[in-house]
Amino acid sequence: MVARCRSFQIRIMDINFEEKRVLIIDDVPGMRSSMRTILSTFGVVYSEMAGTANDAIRRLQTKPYDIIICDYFLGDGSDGQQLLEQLRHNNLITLSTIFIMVTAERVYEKVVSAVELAPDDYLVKPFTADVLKTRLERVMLKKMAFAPIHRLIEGGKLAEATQACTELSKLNNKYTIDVLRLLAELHVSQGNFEEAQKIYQQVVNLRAVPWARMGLATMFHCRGKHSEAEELLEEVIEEAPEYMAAYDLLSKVCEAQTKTERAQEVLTRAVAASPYTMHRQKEMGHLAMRNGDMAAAEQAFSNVVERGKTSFFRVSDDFANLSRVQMGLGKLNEALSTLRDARTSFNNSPEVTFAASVMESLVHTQAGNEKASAAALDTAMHAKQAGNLKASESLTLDLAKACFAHGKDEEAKGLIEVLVRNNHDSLALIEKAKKVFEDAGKGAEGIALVDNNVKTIIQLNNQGVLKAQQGDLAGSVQLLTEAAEKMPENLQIVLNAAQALLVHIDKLGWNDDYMMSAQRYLDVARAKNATHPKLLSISKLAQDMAKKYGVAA
Amino acid sequence: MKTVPLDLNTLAAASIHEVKNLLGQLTLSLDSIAEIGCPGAEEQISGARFACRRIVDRLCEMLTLYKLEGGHLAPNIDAHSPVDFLEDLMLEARTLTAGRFTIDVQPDNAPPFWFFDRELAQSALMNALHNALGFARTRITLSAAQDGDYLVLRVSDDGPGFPQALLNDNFDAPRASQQGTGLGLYFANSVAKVHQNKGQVGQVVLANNDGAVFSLYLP
Repeated sequence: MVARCRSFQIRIMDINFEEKRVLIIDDVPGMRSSMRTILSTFGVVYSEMAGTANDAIRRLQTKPYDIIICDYFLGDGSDGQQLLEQLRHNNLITLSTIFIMVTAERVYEKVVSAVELAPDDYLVKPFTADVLKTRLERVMLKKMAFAPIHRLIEGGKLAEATQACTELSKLNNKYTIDVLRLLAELHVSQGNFEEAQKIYQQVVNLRAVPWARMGLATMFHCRGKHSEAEELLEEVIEEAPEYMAAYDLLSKVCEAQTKTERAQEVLTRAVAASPYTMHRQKEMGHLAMRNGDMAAAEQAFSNVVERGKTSFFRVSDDFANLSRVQMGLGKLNEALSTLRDARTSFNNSPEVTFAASVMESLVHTQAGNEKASAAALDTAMHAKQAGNLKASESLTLDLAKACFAHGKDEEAKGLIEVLVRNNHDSLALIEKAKKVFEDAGKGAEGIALVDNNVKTIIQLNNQGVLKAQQGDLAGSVQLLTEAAEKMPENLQIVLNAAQALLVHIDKLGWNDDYMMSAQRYLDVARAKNATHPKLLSISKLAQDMAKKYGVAA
Repeated sequence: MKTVPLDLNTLAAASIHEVKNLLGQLTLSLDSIAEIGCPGAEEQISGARFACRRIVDRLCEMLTLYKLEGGHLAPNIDAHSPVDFLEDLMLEARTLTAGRFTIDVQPDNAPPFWFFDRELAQSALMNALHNALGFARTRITLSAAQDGDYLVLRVSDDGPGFPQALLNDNFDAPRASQQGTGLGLYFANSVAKVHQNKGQVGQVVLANNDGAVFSLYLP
């Protein structure tokens, strides 16, 4: 048996599989052990097996693996794609980890062509050891080709990564399309939507592949071109109704145009087709609540809580959401029972004690049980203070409600003030904040307080910018950094403070402390919203300054 | 409770599916037996693997055709390297030939990447390969090349060539034949036809040139 071919004889390197740590994830024990045997035929010595997604996550939390081979169907409704997304989003695998999906049928191919996060390759069963080995080697070679860019990305040097990727995209080789895809993603992560749009369009012009069309629609959405996004997504869904990601995006696009009922409708179709995707169920719950469709909201949030009980990625907010809806429906006993479950599920952690106590206080008030409500509020306040806990927006507003109910008006106002100051440009939040005052019978006072705070922030911002324009750079820095320390969550303020510091460096010379503060503010902004349009230009300014003064950024 | 009328097509599809998966597991077991090493039984094991593979391929085809007839078959087009594709195909061919033939691979005129459904194209070519294995004398050639707006994936052998009746066929209906080639070609042509790009449609072309030449044109 001879296979003759020049290009195949040149194996660029021999990959030593003995050094590779492999994790096999499959819910069928027989398949796990056959996979292990197959791997051992080409030298893999170190392989471990996991039967469920949670088991896999536990192992990945304790140590890294080089290669993950995962069956798409994991039983009990979870699947390999969900697992891959969870692992990536929670940084349990790196860009250099190899993730191969294995599937028994063509179902997954439909999924993979539209997802944002694709595995490195997928294999349809049955396959031989030779095929698996070849595919693994091929992925390793590709990872090597991308390694310099991956290192830059993981080092946070996105601009340099983009540059390297742009260079690579000029070569016409078998990685060209993958390079373009990564390049588009890099532009997106820096808020450079226009460039990303061009690249997705370039790929679509070659061939209208689903992921490129999804990317294009996402860019339309990010750039506020909602009707273009809507039209394209309708087209995608009509041609391929099985692309769940298209429904998620279409729902967001509808919501952005305040067509919230249509948004819910779209999501309902996706939830029906794929009921186990938790982020979609959560989105569904919030949307239904916004539309006043409490029954649908309860259904969605209880699904999240039910499935979450066995998931590593459950959060106490899930339980708070469900209890909030149950309260809205007047199902007070159910709400209390949900909160008891939450305490058990999280082993009475400080976070859950706080969240559950806030909600319990509100439930008891609604039930007319003043004493229990006051006690719960007390517990909540103590837990918050003792643990120096941060609360989600909804929970903070609920805490303010509870405070009002017990005459702690100053605490309530203080909570809302901080929230408004940190989010002065979020119209949805401003409305909700005013509603809390209204419900407490302090509508007029609340509107004045909220509006005043918004006005103060806008003025502060304008003053800082004006000072800089007038040449008072030191004054601008002082004003804006003080504001940023007081309102560390306010993106506009934080970004303007970073900018003031950098302009100061540019015009008046290098300053270590200023650069460090600017970087810290940029990190905060990146963590809160990596796609903020201003983030890109200011990050670039920081790099330029480092370069200008010959300091490694 | 209402009883749902039994749909034989669906039942058949489900059964095929299950059998296919069982065969998949059987193939894996055979692979591991071969690895442990059974003196004297290598040939039998290799024969069993070959048989499994052929049955699995045939079942996959039936499933795909079933979806096609129901209008459920949309191709999953993405960018793939034709060279890698040929390499995969060669590995498959190698397990099937069990050393009986020389397999040549000619990827030199292939473009660096092309947009096509990797799995569908592979099924179509596996079919051609099964054929070639039945008729080749010593040699089978796999090649990929760009021809204008098309990627051409080709399986040729040094056997007697296709009968004239097949060369005249346009594969618009499955035709049963002694060797089962008719159904396979109908399948391959169906795969070709779901590949469409800018008004152009894929097709299967059969020719004889010192043996049978099967070409899958993908726009």
